[in-house]
Amino acid sequence: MKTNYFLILFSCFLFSCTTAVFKPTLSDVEYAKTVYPSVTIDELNKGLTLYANKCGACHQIFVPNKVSPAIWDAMMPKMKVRAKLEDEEMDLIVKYIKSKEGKLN
Amino acid sequence: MKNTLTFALTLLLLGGLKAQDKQFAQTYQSTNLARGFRDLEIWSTVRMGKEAFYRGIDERLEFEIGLNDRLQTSLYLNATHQSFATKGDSTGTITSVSDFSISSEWKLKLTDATTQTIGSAVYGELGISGTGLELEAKLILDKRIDKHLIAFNIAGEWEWEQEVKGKVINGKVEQENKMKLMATPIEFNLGYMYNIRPSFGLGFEAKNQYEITTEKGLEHAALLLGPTLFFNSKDKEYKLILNFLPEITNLRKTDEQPNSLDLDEYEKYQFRLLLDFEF
Repeated sequence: MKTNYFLILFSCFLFSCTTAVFKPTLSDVEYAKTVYPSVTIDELNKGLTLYANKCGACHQIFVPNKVSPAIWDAMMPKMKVRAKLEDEEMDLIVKYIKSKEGKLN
Repeated sequence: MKNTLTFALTLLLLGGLKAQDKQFAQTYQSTNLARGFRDLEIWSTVRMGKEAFYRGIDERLEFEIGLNDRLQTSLYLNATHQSFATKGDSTGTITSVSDFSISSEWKLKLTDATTQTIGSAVYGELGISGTGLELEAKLILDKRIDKHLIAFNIAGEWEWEQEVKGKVINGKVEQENKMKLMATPIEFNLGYMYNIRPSFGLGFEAKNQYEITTEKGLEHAALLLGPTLFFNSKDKEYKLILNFLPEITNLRKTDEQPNSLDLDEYEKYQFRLLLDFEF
């Protein structure tokens, strides 16, 4: 029985970890402000929701800071057309992706 | 049927198609089509190996559309053909029956499988055939962690059949038509996929079925388990999912069904091929 509780807790921990890498943080906002001075955490959250729903509808989405900025810059214009993103939606997704560049791995 | 297949093949030959993020043949994921995206799926299922002789072929053509980023709907055209010999029949007769139906599916995504702790969606499907009506409700849970994808579904179904009863009143036959709730089956599905590459994955799917009738209650239960292969074309123009699902064990042994496999209600083997195109 103890093993079962341990497995449940471990699974919750693992799930939380994977979620945390996507969630915008205040340090992400601070980093994003160097490029977009008026950006807010609400905008980054909207960008994440769009990223999950628009991009994740067709393919597995990537942890933003695991992909180099050069690859993002090359991919995003193509994906905008493919995912039929409106300018405003694209703008929010790019802000979200760029905000994670401060934690590049 | 011929016309629907011609339509499907014509769409297949069109360029610029893309496929949605679907990786299982039996288990649903919480992912939905984005707003305005359309998708065509061709499902082919071959079921074989019941007591005496049995072969069933199910064809489903599904047209899906994303209404907004969380809600999608689809229309299915379903055709089923079954050929079987009756157990204990010494005449060698094989009977064939076909059935056609249409169904409407609605899926609402609640949470995301990658960016949130757990992905979830609710699903409803209403089906109408020549003699029956089916309503299915499903809860979908899934989680994607890097190359691993796991999905779990709980589904409940209500099946009504048309009943026609004749009575002789004052020398005249009077018929009474009514819909009768015949069965309320329950099904659990579990799927696991390891994505060796973004375009190629291998995994398994398990199906736990319970046949519950209004007359006798729980009549049959079985566990089916088998491998699933997923392939996405390089430019994501189409997707192929292949599943083999043999019956593993009979979970409801009775005097009528004492064997390790229940081949009265369920088949020994199921093969499913799912082709998916987005346009």
